[in-house]
Amino acid sequence: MTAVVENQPILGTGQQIEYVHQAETAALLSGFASNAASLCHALSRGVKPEDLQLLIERTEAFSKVIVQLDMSEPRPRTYSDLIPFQVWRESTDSHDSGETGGKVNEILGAVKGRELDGDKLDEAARYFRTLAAKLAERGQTSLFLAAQDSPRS
Amino acid sequence: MDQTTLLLSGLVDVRDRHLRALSGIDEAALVASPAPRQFLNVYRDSVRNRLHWYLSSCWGILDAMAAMGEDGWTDSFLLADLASEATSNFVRLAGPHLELSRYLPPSSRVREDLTYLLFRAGGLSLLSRTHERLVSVVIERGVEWSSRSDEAARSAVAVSVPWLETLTPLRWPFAVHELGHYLLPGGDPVPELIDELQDDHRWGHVERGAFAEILADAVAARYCGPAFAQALAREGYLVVSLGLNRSGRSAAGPESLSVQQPAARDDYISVRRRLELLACPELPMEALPPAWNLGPRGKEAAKEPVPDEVTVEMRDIALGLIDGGSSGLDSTCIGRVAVLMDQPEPVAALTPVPDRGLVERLEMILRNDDSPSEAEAGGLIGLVVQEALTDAQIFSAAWRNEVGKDREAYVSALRIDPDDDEQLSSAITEVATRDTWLAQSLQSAAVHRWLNDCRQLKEDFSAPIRTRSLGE
Repeated sequence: MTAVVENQPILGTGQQIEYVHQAETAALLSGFASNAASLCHALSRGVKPEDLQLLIERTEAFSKVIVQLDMSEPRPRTYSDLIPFQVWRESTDSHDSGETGGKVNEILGAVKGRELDGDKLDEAARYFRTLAAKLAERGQTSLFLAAQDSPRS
Repeated sequence: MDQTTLLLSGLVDVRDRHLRALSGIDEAALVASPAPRQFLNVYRDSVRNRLHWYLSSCWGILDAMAAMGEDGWTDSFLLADLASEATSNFVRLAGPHLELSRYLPPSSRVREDLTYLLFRAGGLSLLSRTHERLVSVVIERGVEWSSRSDEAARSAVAVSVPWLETLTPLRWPFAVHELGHYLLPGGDPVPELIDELQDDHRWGHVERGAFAEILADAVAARYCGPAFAQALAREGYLVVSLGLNRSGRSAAGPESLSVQQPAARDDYISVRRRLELLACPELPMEALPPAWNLGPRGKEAAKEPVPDEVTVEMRDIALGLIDGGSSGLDSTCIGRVAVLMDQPEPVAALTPVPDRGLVERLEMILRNDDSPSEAEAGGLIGLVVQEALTDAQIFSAAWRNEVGKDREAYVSALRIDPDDDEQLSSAITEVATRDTWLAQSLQSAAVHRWLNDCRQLKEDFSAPIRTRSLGE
């Protein structure tokens, strides 16, 4: 499973390609947040962690991505490396990476047997759901802008 | 059809889009020169990785649903997460789609059968030089549908179809919708018509935009039957805008097409409202999953940009312009076609359901070695002569199969392992075969109908000559 946000080289130039990469990155991050939300929700409904292996793996991968995004001054090698930071910061005003990382670790702790009551799991599920929706909206906006910028073949 | 199965059909649809991309890349790589072929192979790997990612996300949630028992299948939270997976993984296909399009060989670009479909839908003749210049199909590098017309030659329409969507006729009702933004069946130009209506009804640019969508929907629904509403519902949640109007005289007017405030079609009318206005019995509104969020978007407690009573009036005007909205489809016939298409095999014509009295008469004639009367002979011939299907019947049967399966069938379709070459190859072949047979059904039925029309024309011409010679 890919544990990092994919850094793809930008082939050619153009605003459209940049928008599409923003859309893809936002969609990927949204998927991570959505999986974390599903995990919290299922745990709060009493599903056992052994039935949720795929969601747990995805949430572990999400925690590694958040560590990467938590760098206050990223030093990207290429312009495309900047996109995940740009997308994350622009779409997660109230969801800073520190807070998100803390919540992800809480959930992973609960999976490993630490106590976490149902209310806290529900609250975390709502938090990740909102985060996923914001990132998804960011992705859709970028995709829309890319479509507007589209040259015709 | 219920909310859960419809939502699951959407998940399988996103799986199929990945499989189609793989199939299309393989086909293009066969005829590509060495350098583009290498790039195409890179994108093939990229799409395959994305498919793996998508399916494992779905499995994660489906496992959770299964562990919750029957309640899991109606859990609105998890259903919303599944819908979100479909949306985000559809968006993730946009990158490879955009970049690989430059490496596609010219032969894999525009499909002639799609162009012919638009000619049929527009009531245009393939043999007319004037008509030939009216409509063209171009390949869109992005994943959104659009259409535009040339300012200098207003009647010429270019329909932009994403490359991926050229691979399956299931989505071609959208091409008919795009055509409906510029041409009415028979060739009357739409923009001028809307100009007049806008003046008469004192519509603002939002009302104008809403009417343009309603009219194009009516054109597509009339030509494609219930398939258009089903396709619209299942596409509507994947992209926020569901297309743009790009012509110089767009639905919203050029002033609204700024980058900061993009003019999406949702700005004029939501997909949910469009579906309500289409009032398709094959797609009850209560079957639409709330997780698809097809209503007005973007604002809290968002309202439709145009009041419901105005859009109802607009729908009636639109139906008046296209001479009624019903495609007049017989559900039994569609059911029979759907069964054959699910084999899968191409279906271009059906033998009519025989009248019981006529069958009894045929049996009696055979038993008694009788000769049928002239009137009976016509009916008896009808028992064995197949009737060519319409595009609406074929589209509707294909969409019935697309959205009418049960939950287990959809879940099982999502349980393929894309890392297993054999399973992947078999799934790609299955999807490609269905698409090919559907395309062949549409094309063969069109030829069948054309031959019938020619035969009828010949008879019409011959009749007066025969009458005259008899009189002489």
